Amino acid sequence: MSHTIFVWIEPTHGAVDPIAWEALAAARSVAGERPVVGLLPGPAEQPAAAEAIQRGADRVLLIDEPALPQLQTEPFAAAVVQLMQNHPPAVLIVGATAAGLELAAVVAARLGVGLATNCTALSFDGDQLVATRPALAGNVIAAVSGPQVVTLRRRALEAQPLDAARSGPIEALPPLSAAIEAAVRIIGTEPADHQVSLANARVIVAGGRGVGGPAGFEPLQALAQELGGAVGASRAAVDAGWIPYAHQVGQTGQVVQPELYIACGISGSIQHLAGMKTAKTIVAINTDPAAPIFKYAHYGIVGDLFEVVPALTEAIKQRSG
Amino acid sequence: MNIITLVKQAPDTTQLSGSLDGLKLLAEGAPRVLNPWDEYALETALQLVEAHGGSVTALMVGPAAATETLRTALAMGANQAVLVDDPALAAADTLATARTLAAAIGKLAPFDLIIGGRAGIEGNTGATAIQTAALLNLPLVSYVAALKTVDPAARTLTAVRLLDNERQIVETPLPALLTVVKEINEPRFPTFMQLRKAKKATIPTWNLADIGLTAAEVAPQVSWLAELPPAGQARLELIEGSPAQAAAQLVERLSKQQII
Amino acid sequence: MLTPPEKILFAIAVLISLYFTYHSFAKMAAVIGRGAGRLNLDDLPRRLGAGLVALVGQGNILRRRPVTSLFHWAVAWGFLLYVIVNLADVLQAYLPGFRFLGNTPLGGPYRFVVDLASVMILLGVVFFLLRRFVAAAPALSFRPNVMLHPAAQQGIRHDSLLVGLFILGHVGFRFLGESFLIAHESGDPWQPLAGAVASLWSGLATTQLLIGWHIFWWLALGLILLFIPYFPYSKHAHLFMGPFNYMSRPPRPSPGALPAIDFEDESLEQFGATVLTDLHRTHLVDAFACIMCNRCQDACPAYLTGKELSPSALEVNKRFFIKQNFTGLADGAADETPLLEFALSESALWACLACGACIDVCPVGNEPMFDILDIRRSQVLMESQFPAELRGAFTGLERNGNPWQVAGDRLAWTEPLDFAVPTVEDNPDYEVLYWVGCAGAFDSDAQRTARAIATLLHAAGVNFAVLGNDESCTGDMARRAGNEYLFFEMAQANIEILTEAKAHQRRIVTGCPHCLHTLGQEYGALGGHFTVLHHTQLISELVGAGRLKLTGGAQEAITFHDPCYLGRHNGEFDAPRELLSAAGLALNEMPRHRQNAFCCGGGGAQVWKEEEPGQAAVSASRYAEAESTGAATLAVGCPFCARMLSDAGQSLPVRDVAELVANRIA
Repeated sequence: MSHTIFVWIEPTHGAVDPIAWEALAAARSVAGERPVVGLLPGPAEQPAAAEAIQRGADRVLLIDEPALPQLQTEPFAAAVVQLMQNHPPAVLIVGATAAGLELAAVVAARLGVGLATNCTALSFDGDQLVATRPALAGNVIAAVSGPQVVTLRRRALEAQPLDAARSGPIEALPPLSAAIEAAVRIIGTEPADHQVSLANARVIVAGGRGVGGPAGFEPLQALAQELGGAVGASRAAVDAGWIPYAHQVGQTGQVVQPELYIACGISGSIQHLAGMKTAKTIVAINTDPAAPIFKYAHYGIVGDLFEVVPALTEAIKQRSG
Repeated sequence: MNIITLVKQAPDTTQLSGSLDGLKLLAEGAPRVLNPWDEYALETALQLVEAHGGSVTALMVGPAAATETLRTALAMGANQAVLVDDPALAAADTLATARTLAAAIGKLAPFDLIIGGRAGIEGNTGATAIQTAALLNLPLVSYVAALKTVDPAARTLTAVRLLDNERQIVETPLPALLTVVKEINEPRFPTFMQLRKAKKATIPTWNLADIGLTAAEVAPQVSWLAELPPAGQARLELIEGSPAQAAAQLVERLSKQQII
Repeated sequence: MLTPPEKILFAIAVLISLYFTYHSFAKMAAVIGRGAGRLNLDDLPRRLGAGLVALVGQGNILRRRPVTSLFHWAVAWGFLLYVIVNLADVLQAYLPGFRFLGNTPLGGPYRFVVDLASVMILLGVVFFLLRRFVAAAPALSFRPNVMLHPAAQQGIRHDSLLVGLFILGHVGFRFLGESFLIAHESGDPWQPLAGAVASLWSGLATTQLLIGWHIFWWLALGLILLFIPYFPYSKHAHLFMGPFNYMSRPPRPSPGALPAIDFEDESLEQFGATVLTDLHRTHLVDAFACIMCNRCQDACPAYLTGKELSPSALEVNKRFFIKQNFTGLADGAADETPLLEFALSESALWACLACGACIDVCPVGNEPMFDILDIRRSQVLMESQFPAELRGAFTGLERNGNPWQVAGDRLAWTEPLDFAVPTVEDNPDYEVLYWVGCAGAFDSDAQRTARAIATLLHAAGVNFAVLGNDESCTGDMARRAGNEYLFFEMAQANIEILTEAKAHQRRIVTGCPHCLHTLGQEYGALGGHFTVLHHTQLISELVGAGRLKLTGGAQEAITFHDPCYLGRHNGEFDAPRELLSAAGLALNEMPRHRQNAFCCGGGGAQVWKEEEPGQAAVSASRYAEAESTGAATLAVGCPFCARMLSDAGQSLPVRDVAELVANRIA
């Protein structure tokens, strides 16, 4: 019997997180003849449901619970568990957001099935789902067999373009039991810090002595903003008073481990390397080809950061534009 | 407050860099340390007990050798530590580990709070604590970046959760299970007296039978097929050309590797 | 001659004075006895000799402040003479017709010297009083950001005034008494100065002159009887506590070699100093010996760059804390006030660069640096309170054997060399073990130095080997940062590896003065006895023996920064200078050089933390000093000096001596 592939489509404040479309694309990539069912919390009338069909779902089920103004894991997980139990065998694909991981983990626990998180690729080996995922701080990729619930890492796949030709049923499930009362009560929300903190940043654009002065950090700021990242600095730049200590990366500053670290005009003294050498990808931009930073970098550009950094910002703008 | 912290052993990933990649690290059996995220969980528990009284228990599922890592938890200030070790757990996946933890927690009850780290640095699955809460039917507050209020008498706490795009403030009754992120505190460094005490402490080890589980109940649902070296991690690639050309090439490579 | 009732009265006064003196000195001894460890009083003749040398030689007082120091010589030597003078005066007052040295050939000269000395003392004390109370010399005050005991500011003034007036009174009255005696005896050509005063009394009758002598005799000697029991309450106790400090200090292999803690001793409950009485006894003696001259403050790089640390304030605060709790401390009352509440602030504690300048400059043998590092031990081992940045370095030492948490190959630096660097395994019959150090292994600049050292050894045909990946940090950083336990573990592991490599039977050379110091001066206390040389010492030896020929080359102007742990702590100032000159470089010395060199800012584990708040960075201050010499290159002999100074500016290239020399091999 072939699997039903459920895809969780996470709404955040009325909009759908694009990671859900990537999850749909992942489902489509392994589906073959298997049905792909989008699960969408919220009321029946929402444009996202139709978009889900156009992006690859064969069918969309709407899970509404008016009593729950905000998404909460426990009641929705209960609904997903019920659906999956009603359609065996079933697999669930969830975008690897914080809330998505929580839902996936709870569903897997309640069903007593295997879970693989933060996956970068999926395939079927017969009736077995095989997931590929990084481990050991990204230094190892592991293939995992047997999960029935997976979370998919952001940008692992590209979302499918809208296909207006696609159509499929959109059905509203009966409301969740009104008796469900979540123990955890959401009191309020605050927007995430405007300034991305170094510790949590996925991307860090850092400057060293090569930036030459406080104004030299401006192009770095622009690039960081374009990448949704934070600005870091070497001790030399901080000691020179060009940027506050809060931005210092290194032995006596913050130790960071972003996905991408772009070192601009940083020679790469051991003091600085101690704070960023475990970044997953390191890009070095420096006029001195002998700078030690190049020994640790994955990509290097020998050149003037004041030319290269704005060009990078421009290239990224064009790509997303 | 009686607090149980979920801790695990992890390879020292600070070893990763330059000449030592993850595969070599696994092969050479790098030093094993307390999972860095769990230090934040322990620190949270220790601070709560300092403020409200009670005790902290560090609970770990792991091999016998992990006892030494549990001593780090004792040195930081945990009042007791328990190791669950059983041959049947050798290939445990997150669910099997969560079942084991849930059973062990049942034996450690009563408790007011269970605190875990966001994830283990090795597998970075981040699901074990969440699944433990699900199995115990405990209120779950994950990704806690700050505790706003803790009221042991009223048996409630309010916490700030760090989500992808927002910070969410929630209130939960106790007992509950929390997972914490690094923002929450700065873990302490053990004093020498604590180190000396921890060195001599006896750490009980439980097997599955001790906590009322059978091997079948912790049979893994997922298995690791292979560990592959990550793609595209070849050392330095120098990108040449004019600034605009180099920038375009770099962006292309980074997008291809899903980095941006 | 005194009258019989006067004699009885004076004898009673002496007994009363002795009684109080005994009590106050016993109290001081009891307080010192509360300290940890013991004073070294074995081999007493030699130690007394050391004390006497310090007393007569006046410590190293002439090193700084020449004018003040000259006046001090005058007062101090005069005062030493006055011990004899007072005894002689008492004898003369009791024994009929007795004159000290009388009519012997020495009698006249004795009186002449005393006459001169009296006036010198009076002039000296007037100078001191004017300096403190009229000129308000800035050297005698503390910056407001330095923690100072509330009683200290006024206390020091009162004490100084009291001591000044006492000396003026004692010597002045004796001088006047003598003038009456001279007038009475119709002149004494050997005492021209008192004689001049005596001419004022020419109109007085004989009995009046005698009464004058009696009054001033009583005033002069009465003051002494009053003052002696007061000594332990006054900084004037430095007069004998300074020399006592020199004679009772524990032996140290080098001025900054710290005592070890035996962590295997399970009975130990206190690690480092939390309260005053946790300090070693010799450092309680320090508090009594301190004359509050602030010379250490003038030499302290932390104080000079505006940090909260003043080594002299530390000693002053200890002293005033003791003064305030004197009886309680002496009687054994619990000592519960943490040093960090009265002796120095936390920022001051972590501002110390462990450069040893305070110890080096102190004229009474105080060692404030030891207190600071002992309090750091307590903060780390007992309280776990230390700058957060240090944690990474501690973890690195623990897990990776280096403070940067690098897991790389310790031989990577050798790759660009065109000859092989053998490990001990490759070359077990080596003569010299080259201890590369963590910086040499991992810091890209220090790797260049390491290659230069290896190149020089290779060129001179030295049979050497390295430990490669068996080497790890000596633990220096942990020790200066107070993590003595981590140091203990690193040291034990290294001693084992070095002994296995038979390094104790050969010589070790290192490019890092911190390794030089820990391996050579501090491992001994843990059972590792090694002969360790700095690379400049060995290379200089090779040049001297003709095994290395250097091209003279252009006379490029260069300046040399003395690393604290090569210079002050290990006494080597010449080897790097000789090498530089042999390599044809012209040395422009910085104003502060050799013994007086100013720290680079990296010592005392400062490399591993952010600098404490102050007015300037130590490294920037030193860099500016180097720039002021007009030299084209700043030569260093330590990878951490190199790091700190090259991070401090760009105008002046910073190069290790080894590199400069390796570029000039003939």
